[in-house]
Amino acid sequence: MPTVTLALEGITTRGIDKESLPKLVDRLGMSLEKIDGKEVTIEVTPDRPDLLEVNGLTRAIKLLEGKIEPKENRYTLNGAPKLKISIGKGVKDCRPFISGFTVTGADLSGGKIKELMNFQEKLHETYGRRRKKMSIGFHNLDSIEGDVVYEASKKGSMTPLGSGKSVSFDEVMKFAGEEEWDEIIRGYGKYPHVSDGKKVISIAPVLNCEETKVTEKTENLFVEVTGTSWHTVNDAASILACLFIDSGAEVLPCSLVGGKTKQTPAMEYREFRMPYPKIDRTLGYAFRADDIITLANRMGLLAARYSSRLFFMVPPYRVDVISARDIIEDIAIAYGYERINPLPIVGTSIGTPDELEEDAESVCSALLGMGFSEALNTYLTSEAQCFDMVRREYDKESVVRVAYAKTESLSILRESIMPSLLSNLSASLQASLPQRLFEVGSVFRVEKGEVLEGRNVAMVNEHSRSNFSEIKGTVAELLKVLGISKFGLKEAKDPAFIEGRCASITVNGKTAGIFGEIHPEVLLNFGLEEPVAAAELNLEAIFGQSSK
Amino acid sequence: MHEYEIAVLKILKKEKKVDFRELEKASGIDKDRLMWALENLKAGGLVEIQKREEKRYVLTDEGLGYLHGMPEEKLAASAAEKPIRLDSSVGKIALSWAKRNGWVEIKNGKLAATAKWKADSSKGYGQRLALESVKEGKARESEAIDALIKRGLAKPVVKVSSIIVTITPKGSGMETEAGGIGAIAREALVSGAWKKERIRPYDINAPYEAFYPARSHPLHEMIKTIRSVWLRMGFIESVGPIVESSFWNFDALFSPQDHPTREMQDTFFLSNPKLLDIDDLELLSKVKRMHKTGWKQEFNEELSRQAVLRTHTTSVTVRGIQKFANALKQNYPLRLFSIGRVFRNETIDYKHLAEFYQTDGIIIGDNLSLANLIDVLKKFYAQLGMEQIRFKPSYFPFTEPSLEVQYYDEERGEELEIGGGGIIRQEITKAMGTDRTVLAWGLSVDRLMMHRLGIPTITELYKNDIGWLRSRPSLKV
Repeated sequence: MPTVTLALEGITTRGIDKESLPKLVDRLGMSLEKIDGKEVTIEVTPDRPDLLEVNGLTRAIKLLEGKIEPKENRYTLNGAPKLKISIGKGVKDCRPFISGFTVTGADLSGGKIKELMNFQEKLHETYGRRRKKMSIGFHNLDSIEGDVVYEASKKGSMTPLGSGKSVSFDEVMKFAGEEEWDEIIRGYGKYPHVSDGKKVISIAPVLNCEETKVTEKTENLFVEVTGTSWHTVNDAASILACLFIDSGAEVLPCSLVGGKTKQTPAMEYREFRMPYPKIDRTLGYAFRADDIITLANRMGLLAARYSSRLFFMVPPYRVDVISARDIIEDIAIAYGYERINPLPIVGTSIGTPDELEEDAESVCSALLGMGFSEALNTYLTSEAQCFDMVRREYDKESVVRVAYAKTESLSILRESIMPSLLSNLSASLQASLPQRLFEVGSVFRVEKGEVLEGRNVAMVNEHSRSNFSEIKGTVAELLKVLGISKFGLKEAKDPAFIEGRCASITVNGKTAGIFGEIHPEVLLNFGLEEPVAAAELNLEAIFGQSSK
Repeated sequence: MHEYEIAVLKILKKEKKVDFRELEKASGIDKDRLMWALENLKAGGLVEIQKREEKRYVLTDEGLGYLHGMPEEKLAASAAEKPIRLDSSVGKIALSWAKRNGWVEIKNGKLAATAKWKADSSKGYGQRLALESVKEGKARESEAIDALIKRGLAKPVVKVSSIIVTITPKGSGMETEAGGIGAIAREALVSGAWKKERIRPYDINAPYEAFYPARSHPLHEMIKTIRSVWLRMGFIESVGPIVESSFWNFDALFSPQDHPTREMQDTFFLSNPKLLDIDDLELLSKVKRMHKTGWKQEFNEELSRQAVLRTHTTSVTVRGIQKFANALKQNYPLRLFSIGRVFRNETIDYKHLAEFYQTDGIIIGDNLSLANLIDVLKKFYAQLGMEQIRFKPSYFPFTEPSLEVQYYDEERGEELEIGGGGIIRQEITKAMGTDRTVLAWGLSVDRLMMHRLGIPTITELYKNDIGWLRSRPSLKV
């Protein structure tokens, strides 16, 4: 989940005291990671990008506390556009969408410009999928010389932010120096850019120009958002526009030529309606209609009742609300999860275990009774452990392999349990003998492109007199306990075992497992200096025959 | 004195000084018991034991895997072929050793091999030669060996090469022909000899002969407890595959296709098999529609087919919804649970494992509510002795409303997030073909486990050191 670090001062000056912050944040479904001197770090759920910044966060908290009330049309853009954005050539097949607006009378003094830049970065990282899906550019409106064109081309030039001279787009990329953006542009094969008729003001996901640089003295801004999803681009622009409206600045839309809408950002209040009992049914509590309206207000939603139906208006910054259910959750949050009383479900049912799980349990208790302790190993392992160390050959095609593991030794899923148990013996050199271990668990194999998941039991037995006869007895007695008195034995060859001291078991004519004395070379590979006898059986093969 | 001790002393009185192996042969007592008897005699000051120990080295399985080439060698070799882009596919360990050996340098943001690599690679790499010497059992202490140990590729083991036992004057003076009956022999019993002779009293404070009870794995005990709680609460157990398609693991759960958890960094994608078939094409097209309307973005069927190691048992849950939501002859509410392994691509340390256990559940029924869900979860945790839980809002792509379960750990004085749940989104239930309500949750098992056992590191759980298994405390429920 995304976390955001904010200046504590920004929160307290907006009227929320430090002491009540953790609880309020928690009630909204976030969690306060730490308060560290002047800073506070908060974990925000990924559906609420509007909370990744101090204005949005304090707005939500103050609404919840009832300190402010949602107002009708507060976030509706009524003014006439000052600027026109035209969508030109070349962007359609790479980064097709743009949304933008202008701001006059903004105040970026003090720490406010930093807050804004931090928010921009956060949005890029999370909602914008590291600028791939969406990125934002802020410009000084007073330095914009004419209407704006958004287009893409292979060549062009711009004076990159932080530099004194105009250079080619290729040079700008070197100047910006981030591999990730380089990757995005390379995917496009050209540069999507925004210009004002006189000059290029930004290469969309990468960098702005020097001329339109925003400083803490900037009062008038042009904000452009570009990306590959209209939905995301417009949502980000709406959240930003609401932020400027809340700060007291005037926000004007831009007219859009060649886009999805005639004007951007498209920020309407969205209406949802639902029958009144639906909320009670979903939450399991009988609310009064008036209470629901108040609770909706506490989450920033406008609400009204008309006979048995409820109407809700969702402000543009609440991009997470996509259905009536989201509104019901808001009601629950405003009411407080801790106040919801547990309600027993009417109607009983009979608990039923899975058959193979039950069988596995009986194998475990049988082996415990025979003096074997239980091990549990990870399913992920390495070829070295699973095959090389036990001298087993393998076919690459039959091994379930992961594409990339952060821990390099975890590259495959095990095909057999026995090697894991041998490595456990190797980790138990300090403990006294005899050492008897078993494990019931999953094993994996690929056959004809399909993954076969099997359930096996393996046992190892290490002590100075451990031998074929003892493990044979263990296997036979185990099968007897499980109700299988008839089984066949065949001489088997498995490089993990000593030749001539290894047998395979058949139950009802089907191979069900293998046992024998472990090969000396294998013992030494694991640093073991006493004989070990081992067995591995497949539970499906055993119980497939006996369970019915 | 124990019979074994008497037998050993008798031999020693004659021989004075004996090699352990000779003693084993002469007494006919097996190694483990003989050692126990000797330790007892030593504790009584009757014998002296001289152990000659030898430090040896063995390979770890990771070390064994590198016998044919260390990662840094592979990295330098491929950089020598063609400069490599520095991204997440370059192993950290390989890179740091290749740099330390002066084999690679960064040129224009890319990794290139140096002249030193050419020189070194023809000589043979010291660490790998050391690795081979370990394999052959010829390794001696050296800098290269130390490096291997630090990297976890080899480990030292102390082996006893010989044991010499000498009798002390006190031992020589010890009476071994003590009168009376020692161990109760059949003959003495049947013949009535036990009536005529004194049965010798034992020292009740003497150490007992070692024996080791078989123990089950604590994690399994925890799983058994959780299973029995669900079964008592009327739940049907369901199981599902561990290797799962992205369709069931992500798409069917309304997780957007461009979501960060669907990157290689977090999830184990497979290279063999790379793709899995999705049989139910009708369901696929419904899920596709759900994504297009819900997330307003394109849906790629190829991504759906990508094979992953399931990241949660919620994949079993959603399969359950599809299977049971409209099944005939079902009584609703229908309760299902599952418990099993799940996987996350993590760098393993004391706090993180790449695999752990999760338990999931659903209840399918009509008009089920958030208050019902809270009731079920409270009852579940109460049966595990955890009354101190609370619920807070949360977010999951597949539930709405959603909640998170918080548990207050009194001993540590901290709150732990131990699970999540909610009401399955209508978009999903509709795609699965039902109008019924589905309550769902996924709860962490390993966190409860660490709490229960009081173990500080989670890796401890999968080491299976028999010494630890034998001596670990039982679970308190």
